[in-house]
Amino acid sequence: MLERGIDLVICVAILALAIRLVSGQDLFRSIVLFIAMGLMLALAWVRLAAPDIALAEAAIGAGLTGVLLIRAGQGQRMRGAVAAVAGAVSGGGPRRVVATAGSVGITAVFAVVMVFAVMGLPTEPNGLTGVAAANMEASGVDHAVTAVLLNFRAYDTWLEIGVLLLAILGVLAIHRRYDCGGMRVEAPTMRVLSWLARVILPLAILTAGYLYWAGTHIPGGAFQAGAVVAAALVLLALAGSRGVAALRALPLAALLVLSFAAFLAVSIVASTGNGMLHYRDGTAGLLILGLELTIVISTAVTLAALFAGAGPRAGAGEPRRDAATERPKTL
Amino acid sequence: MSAFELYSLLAAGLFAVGLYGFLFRRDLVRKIVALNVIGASVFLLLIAIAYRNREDWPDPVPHAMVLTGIVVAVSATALALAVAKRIEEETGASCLPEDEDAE
Repeated sequence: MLERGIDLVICVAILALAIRLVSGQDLFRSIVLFIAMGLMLALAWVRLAAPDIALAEAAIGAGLTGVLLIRAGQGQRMRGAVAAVAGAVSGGGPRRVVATAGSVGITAVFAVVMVFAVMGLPTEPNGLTGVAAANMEASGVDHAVTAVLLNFRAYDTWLEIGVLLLAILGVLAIHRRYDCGGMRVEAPTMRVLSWLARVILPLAILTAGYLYWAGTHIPGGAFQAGAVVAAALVLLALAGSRGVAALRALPLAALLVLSFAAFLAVSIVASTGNGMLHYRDGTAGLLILGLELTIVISTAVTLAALFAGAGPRAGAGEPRRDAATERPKTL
Repeated sequence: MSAFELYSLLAAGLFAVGLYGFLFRRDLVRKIVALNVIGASVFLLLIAIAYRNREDWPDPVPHAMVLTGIVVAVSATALALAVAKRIEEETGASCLPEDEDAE
């Protein structure tokens, strides 16, 4: 009974936070509520026996996404406040009330349909737990989630790395740069913060090393480890250090591509003829450890570079230094 | 009510709330936040199903899918934010041109 009570409190809190963050006027407050919702979700993952997801949610879902949103929202906060005032003046009256009622009504109808769809789901187990458990012996690791990520469904993970790579390529393209040099965070130098960043970086690397190693037999893993290092790099950038911005184009590209290339190499060189990423007998454990190490490095650098790219473009609103890269007037 | 039912109902509610934000809020950063709420609801449903399918441990396949999904979501969010920023630089408005007269 108490157990279900805890679940109920978590569910109500998540839903209340979501409603507040979607309906609120102040963007900054919404973003803070989103981060809070992410942390509540991490509790929900623990309740649902998914500690791997809880780690990833706290580090990536709430942490890094939140930092990205705050960075993007920074410039908008003032204008948002102005727009809200303007909206209150011009947007009042019955027309606005009808519009609000209509949009809430549509959403409510959809919510009812969703609830019926979810209630219609079968309640008896019919998943792949048994299949995974039967093949753990051959997987090369002792933790089921890592076995699925890097052995049974390694192909999906490879494509996931591909998505990360595409995202950072897109961001670099929007900034028209090959590195993060022009995307530095303009932060006031605070001595406490830069001291803290320097203390936390080695601790973060130690934590990441532990998570990476732990992933082979208990909850943990490469993506969580990469996210922890990325968080330390972001903190370093906020403290005024150069972080990933210090990397020149070529080393940056090498680190971003490292993991994708490693998967490609393994699928060509170290797989059997039975299919892509079908490891030879006895080699799975070592290959997985190697691939995970590249994931830690690539994920950390990519996420830190994505953070750098969330800020304003270098020289936006000013004449470009390079005439050849002059941007068109219209999109 | 089982934990599976409770959390899948929450997923349904969260999806609706996120959809409201995505469809009816004008500001692009808000739309991106709302999209992340929708994403969270999908993850919640998958993990609730994994919990329902537990034997010695919960079903690891949805767990791996959600782990992948969280990383993909943060990359897509970062790219979307960069595009939103660019749109704002070009048009001076933090919303899509067709939404400018609305609300």
